[in-house]
Amino acid sequence: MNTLATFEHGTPVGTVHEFLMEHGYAVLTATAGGRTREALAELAPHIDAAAFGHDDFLGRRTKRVGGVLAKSPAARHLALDDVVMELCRRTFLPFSPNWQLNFSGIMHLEPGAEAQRLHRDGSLYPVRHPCPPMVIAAMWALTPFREDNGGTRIAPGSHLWDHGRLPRDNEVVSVSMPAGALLLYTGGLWHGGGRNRSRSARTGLALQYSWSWLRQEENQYLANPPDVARHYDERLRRLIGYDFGGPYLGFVDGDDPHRVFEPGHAGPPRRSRPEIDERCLAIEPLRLGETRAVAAPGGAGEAVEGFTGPHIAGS
Amino acid sequence: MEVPRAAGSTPPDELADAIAEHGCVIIENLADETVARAAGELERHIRQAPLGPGNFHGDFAKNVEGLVGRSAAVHDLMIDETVLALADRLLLPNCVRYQINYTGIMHLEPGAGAQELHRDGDMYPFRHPSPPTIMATMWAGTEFTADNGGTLLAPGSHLWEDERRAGAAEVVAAAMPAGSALVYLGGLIHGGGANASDRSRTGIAVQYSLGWLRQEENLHLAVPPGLARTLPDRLARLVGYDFGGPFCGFVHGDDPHRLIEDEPLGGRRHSTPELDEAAAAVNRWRWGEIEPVTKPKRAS
Repeated sequence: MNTLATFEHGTPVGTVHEFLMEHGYAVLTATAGGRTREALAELAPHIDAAAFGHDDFLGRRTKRVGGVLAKSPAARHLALDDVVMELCRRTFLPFSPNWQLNFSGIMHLEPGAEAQRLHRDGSLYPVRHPCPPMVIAAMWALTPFREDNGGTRIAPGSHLWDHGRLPRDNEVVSVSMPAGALLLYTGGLWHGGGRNRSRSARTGLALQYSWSWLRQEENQYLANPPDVARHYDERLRRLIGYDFGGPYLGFVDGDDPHRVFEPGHAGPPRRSRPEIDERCLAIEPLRLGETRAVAAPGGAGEAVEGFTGPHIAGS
Repeated sequence: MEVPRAAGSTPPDELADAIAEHGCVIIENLADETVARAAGELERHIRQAPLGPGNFHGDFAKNVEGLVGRSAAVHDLMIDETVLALADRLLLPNCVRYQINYTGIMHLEPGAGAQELHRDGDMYPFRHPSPPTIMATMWAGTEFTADNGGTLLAPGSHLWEDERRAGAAEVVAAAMPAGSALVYLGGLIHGGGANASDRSRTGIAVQYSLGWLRQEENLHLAVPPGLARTLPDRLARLVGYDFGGPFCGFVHGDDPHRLIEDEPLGGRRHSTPELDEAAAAVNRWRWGEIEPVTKPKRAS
């Protein structure tokens, strides 16, 4: 079963953005040219060398590779994909003066991999859903994704559900898409890796983006220290965090963090950039409501025990 | 309008209650000897720093950041037991781990003008009042007085609506002997005072924030792994060689602390049972109506 909407390459970004905000996901076909093939070739040795996960959530037949930018020039291109950047701009700037790469990882499901518990990526931060879009995940299909090989399972529209409502079986759909396609979803969408009962591996490259004033899920400064990141272009360096997260936010030595790549620069230290100041003025501060601890739906880790497990009715 | 004052021997629960109510407290002579040592170690850095544009306080002020790499005595202030006991109570209701957010010298030469009043928490786009995102400490490297630029504070303003400004009668200067600590919340309206005296005033600022927020000063760049390895372990964790919570802040799929351990990375640890348990008890914020006051957490 696959009733998911798919957008052809070249669809106006505004159309994709509107759909993403309304349904919490969007699938785009063939946007990457040959980049996903290159990324798979560059990352294959790292996947071969990687260990399987040590628990059910990480997957006992699933391999993960982090710090992908340092390992793959093609992944560095994908991270800056024009369509993804424009979606980030539209989605994040109402809430944040900048955005950043939050996570980079290979999710490689070998045959026999079990389905991952459904979860919301945004639950990393102590907010109650529904909440404004803090995170966008871009899952690039490095191999085809199908229902039988572990294609990501998603619950369309669930980014708008109350915090305690869990997806039922008939609300969860597997994403099918050819290699080179892209699945986008917001941090509020219930999703999880599927079960791979095929005879070949399913490989996805997940790149996540978030508001720039949040701590990154994967620490990009440690994964891409200055002597590694100096080989990247400036746009990418700024995207991974060598930039202000807002006025006065994220400086080094009282200056623009990007100046770690500009030895001997002249001029006074900067505490912001004009573009960041301008965006900051356009943000309506977020109003916070109740701040109590709430039971995580579905128990530990705020995740459901597979979508064939017990269900708790909406609350 | 008074700033609450207390002795260093005051139980942390009482200090935390005072901060929750007034937004600030002065703890007198909390670490005289350590602060004196820190002031001595930082003196050279202050001397070498330029005056002028780009500083928080204007032309007669100096700011020096990156204190972790500059003074061993400041390390002791950063992990002062009383201060961390307050951070436990004021920040842990809203995060699994807190972190150091900023380290810097605020040095005012005679003639320095008053800084514009502001809220440190404004770098995060939350409407005030909000739960505390930041707990700031200002250690008095020299005596702070009303005429040498002692920090101007509007006690209670951490509970005010976003739009309300502090009137002149609502602002008071923090006066305290060298070695004392002013502790205040990120929602408190404050600013450096004007230095009308003939001597300089030196403050050592160390801020702490919720571990899921981005740091004001990028401490992973200011304190690379080679430097972090030389620090007391508690401090290395506080600058960011630790999880901010389950799945928050890992590197190479593992605890960032592993980067400064002798064992190689690769344990694929994204969380621990202890972190998971703490995460279940942390407040989850709802975006909507206001419920800003967080009760300080009690020692268990």
